[in-house]
Amino acid sequence: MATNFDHYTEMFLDEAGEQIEALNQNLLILEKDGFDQEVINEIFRVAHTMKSSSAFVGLDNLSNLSHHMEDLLQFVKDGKIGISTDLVTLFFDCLDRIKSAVEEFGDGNTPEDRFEDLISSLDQYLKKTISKPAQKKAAAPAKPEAKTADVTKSPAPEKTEEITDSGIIHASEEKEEIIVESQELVSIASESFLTLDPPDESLLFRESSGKQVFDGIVSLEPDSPMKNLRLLLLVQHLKSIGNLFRSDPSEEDLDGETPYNLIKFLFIGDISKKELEQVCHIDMVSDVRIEPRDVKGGRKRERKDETGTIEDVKTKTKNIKVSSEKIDYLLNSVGELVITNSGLMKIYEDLLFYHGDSPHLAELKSKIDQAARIAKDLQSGIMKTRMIPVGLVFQRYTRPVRDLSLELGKDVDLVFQGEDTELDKNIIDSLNDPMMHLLRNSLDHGIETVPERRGSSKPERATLLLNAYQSGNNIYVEIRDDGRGLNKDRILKKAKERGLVSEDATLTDDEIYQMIFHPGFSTAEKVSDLSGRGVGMNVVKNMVSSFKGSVQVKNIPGQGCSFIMAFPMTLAIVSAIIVKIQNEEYAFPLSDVVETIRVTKEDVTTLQGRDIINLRGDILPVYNLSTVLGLPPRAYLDEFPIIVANSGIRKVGFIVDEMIGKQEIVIKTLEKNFRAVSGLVGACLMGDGSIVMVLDIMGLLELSQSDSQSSFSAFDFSSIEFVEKYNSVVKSLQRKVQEKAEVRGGAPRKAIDRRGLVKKKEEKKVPVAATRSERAEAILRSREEKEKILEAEMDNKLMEEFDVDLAGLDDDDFIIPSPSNFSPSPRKKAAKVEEMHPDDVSAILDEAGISETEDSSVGSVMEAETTAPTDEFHDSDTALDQDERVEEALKSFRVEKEQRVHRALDILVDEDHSSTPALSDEDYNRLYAVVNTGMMNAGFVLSQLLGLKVEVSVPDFKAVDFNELQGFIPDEEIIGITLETEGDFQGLVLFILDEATGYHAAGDLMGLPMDKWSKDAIAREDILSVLSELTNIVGSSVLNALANKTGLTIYPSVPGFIQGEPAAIIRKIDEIRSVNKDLQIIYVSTDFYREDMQLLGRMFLLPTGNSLAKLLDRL
Amino acid sequence: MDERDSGLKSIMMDLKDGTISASSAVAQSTDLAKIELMKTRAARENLLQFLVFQVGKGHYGINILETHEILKPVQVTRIPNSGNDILGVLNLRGNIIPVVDVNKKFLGRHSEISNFSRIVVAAHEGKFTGLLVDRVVEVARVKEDSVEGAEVRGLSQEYINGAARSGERIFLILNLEIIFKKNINN
Repeated sequence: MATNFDHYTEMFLDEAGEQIEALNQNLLILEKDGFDQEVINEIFRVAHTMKSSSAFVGLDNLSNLSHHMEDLLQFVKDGKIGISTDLVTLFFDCLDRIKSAVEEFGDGNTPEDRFEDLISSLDQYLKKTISKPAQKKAAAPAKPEAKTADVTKSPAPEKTEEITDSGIIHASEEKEEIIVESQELVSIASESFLTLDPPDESLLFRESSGKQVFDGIVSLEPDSPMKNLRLLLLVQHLKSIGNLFRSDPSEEDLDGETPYNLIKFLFIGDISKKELEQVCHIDMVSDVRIEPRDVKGGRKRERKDETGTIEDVKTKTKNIKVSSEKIDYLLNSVGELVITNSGLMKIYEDLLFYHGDSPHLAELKSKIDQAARIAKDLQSGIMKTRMIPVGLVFQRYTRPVRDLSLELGKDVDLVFQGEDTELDKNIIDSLNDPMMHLLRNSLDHGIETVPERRGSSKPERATLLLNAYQSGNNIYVEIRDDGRGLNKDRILKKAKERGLVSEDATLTDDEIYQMIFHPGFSTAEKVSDLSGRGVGMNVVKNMVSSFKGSVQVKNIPGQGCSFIMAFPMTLAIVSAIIVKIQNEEYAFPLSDVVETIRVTKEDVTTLQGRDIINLRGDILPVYNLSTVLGLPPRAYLDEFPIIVANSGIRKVGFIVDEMIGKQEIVIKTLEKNFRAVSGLVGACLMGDGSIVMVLDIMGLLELSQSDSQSSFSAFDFSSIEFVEKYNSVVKSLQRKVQEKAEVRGGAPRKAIDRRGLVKKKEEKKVPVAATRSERAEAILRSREEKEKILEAEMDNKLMEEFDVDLAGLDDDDFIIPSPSNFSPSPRKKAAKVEEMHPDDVSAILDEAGISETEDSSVGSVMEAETTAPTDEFHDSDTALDQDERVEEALKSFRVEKEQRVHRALDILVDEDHSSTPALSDEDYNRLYAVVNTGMMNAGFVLSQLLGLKVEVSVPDFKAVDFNELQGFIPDEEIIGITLETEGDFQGLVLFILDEATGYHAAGDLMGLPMDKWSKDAIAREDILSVLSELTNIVGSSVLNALANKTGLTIYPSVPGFIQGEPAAIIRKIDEIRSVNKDLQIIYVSTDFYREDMQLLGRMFLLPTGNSLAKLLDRL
Repeated sequence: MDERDSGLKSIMMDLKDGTISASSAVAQSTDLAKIELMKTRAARENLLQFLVFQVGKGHYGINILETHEILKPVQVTRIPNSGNDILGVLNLRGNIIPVVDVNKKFLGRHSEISNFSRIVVAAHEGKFTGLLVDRVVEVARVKEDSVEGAEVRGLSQEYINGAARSGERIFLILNLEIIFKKNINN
């Protein structure tokens, strides 16, 4: 809809909606509380804005009506017209018509309503009331009168007459009968204040420098003598008490001959509005209008309390208006992000499965986790922007409830509770009709008339409660009345009459109350225009269900009834349980699922033709999901899972074949390209791009209850079989293509990956020799290059074909030339294949997994792909071509490479550590992965603790001999922190920083300024505790990761602190724990990145006894 | 051309991600390019262009302007309780699109999937529907006045708008509006 409008129209509609709402609110307050200056000002402001904004979008009739409302309101505002029910009703009438006109406009039409009747009513009201000023006081209620007393604006008694007289005149300026008198007169109510150019505006801003700026208009009695002199006096006076920034007419103008009736000015000064008004009320002044001005932007709203206004302006600027479409779009994208991430996770798991653990994979995993967290944050953030306080909806009902209770002669007190509870905007928008219906029902049928209530000794005034609250993952909206409640027996009787239940059915109370939600069910004896048509309750149910919510009925006969709508907190992304039934997968929204149980065939019994099970003493009706979904009926398996779902009031079970797991899904509607399907809320995309249908419990129940005559009995199961067949055919076609692609490019790529992975270690110790492998590498490089060329060719081809097409089409030929006509040279082979087997093309192509035009004269437009794939597949043994030779070379290269790695590791182990358990390639990778994971965790913990982004990485990692330890410790003053471990893995974690780095890190972590990061500035206790904490975090993270991975119990002890020479530290370590010097220790270089800062630390794992062997064994 | 650009972009992304092979990327993008080209040419030359495809033994055409793209058969997910002629839904770059088994719809029997089978994605009033057809044949260019009215030939009248001739071949013009309407309202 928004696209049809220009920007202004949209803005107008937006604003008008708010204004109508505000008008409605204020009129209600006005009626309830009587005269309140602030409320009237607010109403006046709305009418005023409406006048100009509607004129701006061309709604002149609306503008005209607003203008007349404004006129009348001016008198109310000035206290010249009292508040009465008639007046409020008149304004309500206006409001209704404005609303419908705006709605019409919103639908893209131009409203025809000229509001003539309303305008004349307004005018008449004005005339009638004003022409009888003596009656004014009588008309005004007593309460308002009391309130006006303190309003300084209310004129002194002796002045009333005079002002009122002039008031009549200028308010009726447009009326012909008084036109003679009004000729010279200017109405200041409709007069606009001075406007300034932007440069003047900023000048004003500078000059005002925090002082209050006022807009003012002062008009003189039309017949007053020496007008200019009077105005000049006023100007002088204003100048004496403050800064008169500008006036129109200016002082010079006033010195001239032309007489002026009115003066507009901008005044800067330290006085209040009231004082300024008094200053302006000089002799012969007819009217004064003063308003504080917001020097930066528009004019401030007139309020009793000026400081309040300033705050108001401030809070307003914090909010921005964003169209909900944009937010929906964002939310949808984030949803996709979350799903994509779960796809990544799956890929990671596959990689882990096929290639085993490796440092790169661990890193990938941690990045995926990180991305998932960010996506979650983003999601909840956006979600929050969509939440709106439910109070906004509640407010809307004040008016209808007032009208309706008047009409029905019932006395009702509408009470709100929990208005601040926030609900998704989409729900709020859809809530209107169902709420309205429930309210009407309540007023119409639930709440008794006053005599009836008196009869049953209830308070005469009934209470209608609108309540909203949050509990668990749901948000509840409740409508409760203290009326007569639902009549259970009558509902049951009706249900039986209508054949909704069988005569002898036994229903629980809840089931009976749920009957009222059946389409076409109504117990109302008569059909009123308000309710009782029996369609509404069904609408309520449908709306709530469409948001995966539910409606509950709580009824106490004779004492009241309450309808509770429950909505899930978030709509876009939901958790779901994925189940499998006969090769098809479906998703249950987790919000609907109560629990999942496993039962055996024997647990299912039949009661009144329904399959039920005994669920901890309760009867649980169960349905075979495959039957409900139109799958061929089947006997029960011996044992099967049941999804216990909540249908709103009662639990039902759905029998499935298998439960696959829990997953986050984004529900997409099927209606975008298709239609709503009963039993489904929509569909969702899985990480691999496949689609899974999302089930709707209510819909499933309806389907299962409509039993035999249901739509799916006519369904022939061949369609299901066909879809299955279709998918398997498609899958096999795709698989073939994929396999070919892998032969072509997949395998070498894998080799490259492996190479990259093992390269680091090789570089350290292994002399690269093997000439053959060098050759292979060269071939590999050329292969890579070749691939690049191929890619470039592909791009060229794309362009080429496009051009050729253009040429081909210019001949007046319907047939697009077969792609082989313009294939670049390497594709010729494909054409050859075609020629060689003219009769059996499809068989060959079938083998190749692609299709081909069967008749070269009927070249399909779309079959351009034909040549490309055929080119890649050379299953035919047309001798070993270049590619295959490369393939072979690569294969041997791979084998050799693997051997080399093993040899290298053997050497490494043999040379250095004859007596220690060999740290194999695999061990190395696993250990690295675990240590890396631990470091990542440490990074997260640090990030959270510091509120900064800290990443910890492991640039280097190796197993070294204990004797080499000193070699890794910098030969300067150092700080070491030790962390002993107990449990299954006994040893020592040693964390070493050079002193400078240590102080640097501590200073940084303590948040000290940079010049304090030194030994002199940080006390020993401080650095001790900070670095100990750091080691604790990092060490524990790594140990935890190890413990988690191995299942070993590892406890870290209290950190110890050492400072001094490297040798001293080694000695200290010896003292702490006699480390077996023959053992390998693990050296872990650690990098801390904190935003732009990088700190290098060294961490050592010093295992004792056979701890390392045990650890590696368990890995 | 925006549509094509975005289509191309997403194909290139798929290619980069490795979800599709280079060859099929070429094919897909040429398809897109061609369809767009047809559309612009048709508009320029005051000729009607139809994408002609074969279902069973019959040939059918839809206006090239209503053709969004043409896919090789991809995996679909069945929509329960939604009629025999709906094969299921497919995922077209995040859009969930129903696929009509045209064989089943017109001839009452399911399609035979072959190497020539295609899913023609038709676009109508912002909605998409896939049509599973046996083979895509050609793009026929037909003079506007040579299109015969709907009263011709007695085949599933409600789905047919008329007939046209391209060389020796006569094809029936599908009433996409009805097909879409039936999808939406059942």
